[in-house]
Amino acid sequence: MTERPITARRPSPRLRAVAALLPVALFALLSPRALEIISQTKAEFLGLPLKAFYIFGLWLLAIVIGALIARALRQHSQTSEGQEPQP
Amino acid sequence: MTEFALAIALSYAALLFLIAFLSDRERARHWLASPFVYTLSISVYCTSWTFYGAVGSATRSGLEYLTIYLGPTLVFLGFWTVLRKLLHITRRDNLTTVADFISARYGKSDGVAALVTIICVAATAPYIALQIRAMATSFAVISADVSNIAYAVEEIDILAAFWIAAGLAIFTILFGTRSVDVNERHFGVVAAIAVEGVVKLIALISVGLLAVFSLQGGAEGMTVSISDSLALNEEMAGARWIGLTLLAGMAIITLPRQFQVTFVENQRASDLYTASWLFPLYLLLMSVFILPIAAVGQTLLPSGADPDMYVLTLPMTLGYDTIAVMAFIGGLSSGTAMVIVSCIALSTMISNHLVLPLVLRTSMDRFGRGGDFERLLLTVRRLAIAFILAVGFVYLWAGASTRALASIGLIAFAGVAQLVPALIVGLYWEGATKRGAILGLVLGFLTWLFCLLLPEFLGGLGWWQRVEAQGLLGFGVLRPHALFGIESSDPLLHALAWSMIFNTVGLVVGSLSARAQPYEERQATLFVNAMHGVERTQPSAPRTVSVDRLFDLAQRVMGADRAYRTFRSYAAQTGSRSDFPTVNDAFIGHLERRFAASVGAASARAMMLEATGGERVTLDELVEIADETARLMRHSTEVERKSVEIEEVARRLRAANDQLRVMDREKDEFLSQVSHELRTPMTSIKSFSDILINTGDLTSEERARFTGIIHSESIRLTELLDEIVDLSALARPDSDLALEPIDPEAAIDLAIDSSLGLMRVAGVRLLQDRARGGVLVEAHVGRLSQVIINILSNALKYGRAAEPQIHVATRLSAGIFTVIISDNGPGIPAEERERIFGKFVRGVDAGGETGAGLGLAISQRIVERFGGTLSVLGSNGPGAKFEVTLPIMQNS
Repeated sequence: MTERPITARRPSPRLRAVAALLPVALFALLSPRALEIISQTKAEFLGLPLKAFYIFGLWLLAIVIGALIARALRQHSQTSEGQEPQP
Repeated sequence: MTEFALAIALSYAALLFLIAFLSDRERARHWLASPFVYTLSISVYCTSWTFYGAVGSATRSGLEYLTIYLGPTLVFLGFWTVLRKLLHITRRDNLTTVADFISARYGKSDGVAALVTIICVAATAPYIALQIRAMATSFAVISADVSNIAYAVEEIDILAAFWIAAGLAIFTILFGTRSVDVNERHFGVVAAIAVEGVVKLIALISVGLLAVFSLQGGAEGMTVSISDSLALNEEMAGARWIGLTLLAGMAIITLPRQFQVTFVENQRASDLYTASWLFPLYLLLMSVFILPIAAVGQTLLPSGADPDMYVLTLPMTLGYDTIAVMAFIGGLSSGTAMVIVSCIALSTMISNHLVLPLVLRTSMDRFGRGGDFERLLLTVRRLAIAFILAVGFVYLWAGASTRALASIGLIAFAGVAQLVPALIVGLYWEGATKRGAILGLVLGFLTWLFCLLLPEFLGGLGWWQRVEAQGLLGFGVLRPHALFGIESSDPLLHALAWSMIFNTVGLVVGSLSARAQPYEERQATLFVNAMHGVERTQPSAPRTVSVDRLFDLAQRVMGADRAYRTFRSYAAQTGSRSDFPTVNDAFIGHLERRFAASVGAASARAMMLEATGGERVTLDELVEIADETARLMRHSTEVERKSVEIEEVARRLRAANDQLRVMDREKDEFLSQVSHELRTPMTSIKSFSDILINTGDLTSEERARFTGIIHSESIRLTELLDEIVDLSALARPDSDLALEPIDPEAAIDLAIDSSLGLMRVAGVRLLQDRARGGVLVEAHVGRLSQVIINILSNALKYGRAAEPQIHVATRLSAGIFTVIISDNGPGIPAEERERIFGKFVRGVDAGGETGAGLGLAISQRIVERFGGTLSVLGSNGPGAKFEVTLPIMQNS
């Protein structure tokens, strides 16, 4: 049966930690407490409060970082997961 | 307008059919196997609740609607942790639904699968009702006269809703139930869903851009402030923000339709890497235009207008009919996509986990080999689809029609969230058992039912209002909105918190209360360690089943044709000559997984147990799996340890190599010194013998002198060679030196005696200061006196002074016998003191005296062989002072 070789390349522990921490960091930065701090600035831009720009900006940033992480993970996981199982 | 709207809807349905039809053909498959199609199919998450309801939510609660998108964003950005593992196991074991997955984790239990199916149906039915309602409402809105826009549809046309439900049922049956095998995935459906994903995004963005245009004072010549219209600066309820984010994050995993598109319909595992960021981007785009639409709707539309329909009524009011039609199609896309995929997933669950176990209990043998069984499954699935839509319709009809879209959607989310503890905890904790899973699921489901679904459904009834006020059966602690007396202004959070607490506690307590069955433990290990290389192991118990019996069973389950193809391809893979493979455990496992793709893991296992006659997991097999896991863990630590060892060995080898290089260089130097030393006398011998041979007229005096030189040079040469032989003999630690206990004073006497003649000739005065204690040292008399003679002769050679004298002193101290020989000559300069023990080293002031320069080197080696030392003592000013120390024997 299929047993993955133990020598298969795995992403480095640091990369795996970054991949696991990204959503945690985003969750923390979008927590009510963080949003409350941002809301203290009453500045508006284009009829939107700073808070909205903060949320959407952070969201987009997280997506960009996520894309970079996904690319790095894919490169490091090709030997272990890139091959498709035979139907 | 009604006919127009109907025509649009039917044309759109026809287009989807065409897409599905074209996509099911082989040629389209490679195009469909794209991460973009995969990501767009996951967008089935965005239903009409999102399409219409998000604007309503933003109007009522500001930014809160974002939580529904942020939750899934977090889960997908963190795909490496959970989603990847779920996908890997689903693909590995051919799992068909979320119920199949959870049941497979807990020993392929029928009970768990049935329970999860019931929870999913209960949670999805109101959700489907919601879609029907949104579609019916949008239909009413788009059908209304432009001059008299239906801003708020109080009562939906129940007949229209019925036809929508019926239409969806037919549509889904035609779409989704053409094949029972999950391996033949729903390519057509996925393609259609992906197209719907594009359509609804474009539609919403179009309405959004129209709203932004209006914001800037476009058509109406006015400026709208989003902040002012939506009260975005108001304080948010922190607990609700967190609760909804987590809820949406859980729902994106366990919603039956999401599980279907993300894991079951996935064609390439690597597509998840792209979806991990592309799907969050899709959600971002879907949510960014909600704010302007809500703000403009709030400002421009009449106060009685339903915010849930702004997406449609806004472009109609502004007179953009094309955009209004696009919005209508977008809403239709959102609703149909959700209904189709949910129905496929739920009908598979109902047929595989509720109906099939009953059929299996009666008997499989009633089904023929011509595909009767397959036909039965398809019929059951079609009926199940009709049933699900009927339940949705009844839910809509029976009430609950006045609530906002968002709240119904959240109730459904909270329902499927009950699957999360069993699913996620089971993925990381091997100790979670079937009993725990069932206990947790039942407790969570009942809490959800009592605190959230029933109040929603029965809220209008008098007796239920009494329950809400006084508690169930009069128990005050059992009030749906204040369980155990804890009041909450937010029924959703209240129900979510209690249900998740009961669920998780039930899972843990149930798991700890009883030992798991061997088969459960096996599945637990295979799930928890799925990413650590623990794959399927071959059961070791012998099976007694003929290939004919298996083929018979396979024909019934899969149909004759597919069964034959499965057997033949396996036979070819394993190198069997006939079309039928040899029956062994590997083949039985393979066949079971093929069955699982059609009927689910639990039923497939039941069938195989029936066919092969016996419990499949033995204790031996469990031990084997445990061993395998332990072996893999050991292996990796061993590899680590070995690499450290190898590094250490390499380091030592490098050091040894360096030492060898130094020794090699020393040897080369020694050889070149030796040849140089040998050459000098040889040259002299050669030149004088040349003269003797070639010169005829030599006087006899000259002849005698030359012969004398040749003779003395030969002697010198011989001495030199002897010394070299001596030195190399001493260099070998195994060389024989016959040590014995001797009196060192005797050896010194011997040396002095043999040097006295020379001293007298040189006029040297000998002073002695001896400590004759009669001690013994382990040494060799001849060799020791050789050392002393050597030092004395050096003193004679170099110790030139006006009144030369040599002083020989011996001392005894702390087990050491010391001889010090000093002269009153010029002494040895400090920089020379180390060098003089080297080979072929002569003092700078030899004064014409010759010698090979090996004497001190040999002497030092000799003394070292005796376990002692030979060194030159430092003294400023004249006089060289040599010291020889030797250890005194203990018993002397």
